[in-house]
Amino acid sequence: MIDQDAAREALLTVTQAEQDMASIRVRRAAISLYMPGAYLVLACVFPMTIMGQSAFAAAPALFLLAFVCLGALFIWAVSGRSAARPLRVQFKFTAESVAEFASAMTVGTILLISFLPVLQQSNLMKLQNDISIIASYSIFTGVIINIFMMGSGIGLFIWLGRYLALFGLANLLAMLCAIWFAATPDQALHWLIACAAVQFAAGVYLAKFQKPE
Amino acid sequence: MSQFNEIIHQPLRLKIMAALCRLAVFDEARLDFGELKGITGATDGNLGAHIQALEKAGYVKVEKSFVGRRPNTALWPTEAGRKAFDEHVAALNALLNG
Repeated sequence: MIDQDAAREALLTVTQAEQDMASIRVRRAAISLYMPGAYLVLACVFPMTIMGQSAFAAAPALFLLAFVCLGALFIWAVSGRSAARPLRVQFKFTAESVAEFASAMTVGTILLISFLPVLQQSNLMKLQNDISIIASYSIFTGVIINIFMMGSGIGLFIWLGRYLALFGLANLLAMLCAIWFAATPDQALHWLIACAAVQFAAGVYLAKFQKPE
Repeated sequence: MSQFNEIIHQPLRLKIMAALCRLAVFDEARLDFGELKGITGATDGNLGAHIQALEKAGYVKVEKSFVGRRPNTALWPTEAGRKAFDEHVAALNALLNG
């Protein structure tokens, strides 16, 4: 027979187990979604912003170096305990994960479209009157905003987990700060790159050093 | 009316089910043995026995495989398991809330 004390204790057990699950969820989210995204942003966009639009042509070695170094860091972070935390769980290519990715992209795109009027009136867009600036930044800004929107969309709308939502909100906040407060396109990109760097570092930390077990 | 579930009510099994049912579809809804061990703080043998009891009741599915050379056990809740867990928690809440 279950009395009230037993019921209270059982519910406490449930709550504790759910809280413990949070760290696993954060870790998985960081490794499977945000970390590769942040990796791409850092590896692709950071050299571009510090070297300008002709960076690809001028210094392909820098891009290669960024890819290799960050990639090595990424692999080091996720491979150390891969036997205990099989990567197949994170990277398994299933109909379900494809559907989730597609849903997230859809949500991200809808968000992006909803924000377009805001974007058009923002400092970022106002400062992009010069055609050459638009040419040099629009693609990369678009890519970054899409990545961040996608993250926000996933975090906020797809099987809403509190901690995933925090990642999403952080992305959204970074993006809005970049749009509204940056004085130049360079500054806007730096906001977003800083956010990507923090997420990548958090991903490395969670993957390598955090111990939910 | 929600029903208490004697199989799930055992503290360790309750913890296992709570952890498994907290996994969203996004997480591919499975935990490996090591993760569960971390959450429950149980020994290998004890945890294995309780997982077996839950599997026998049809509340969890267990998949054993190898990652490299190391054996890996992953488990996830069945629909019946999720339903039974939800009902049990609802019954606990009902008892507390009168």
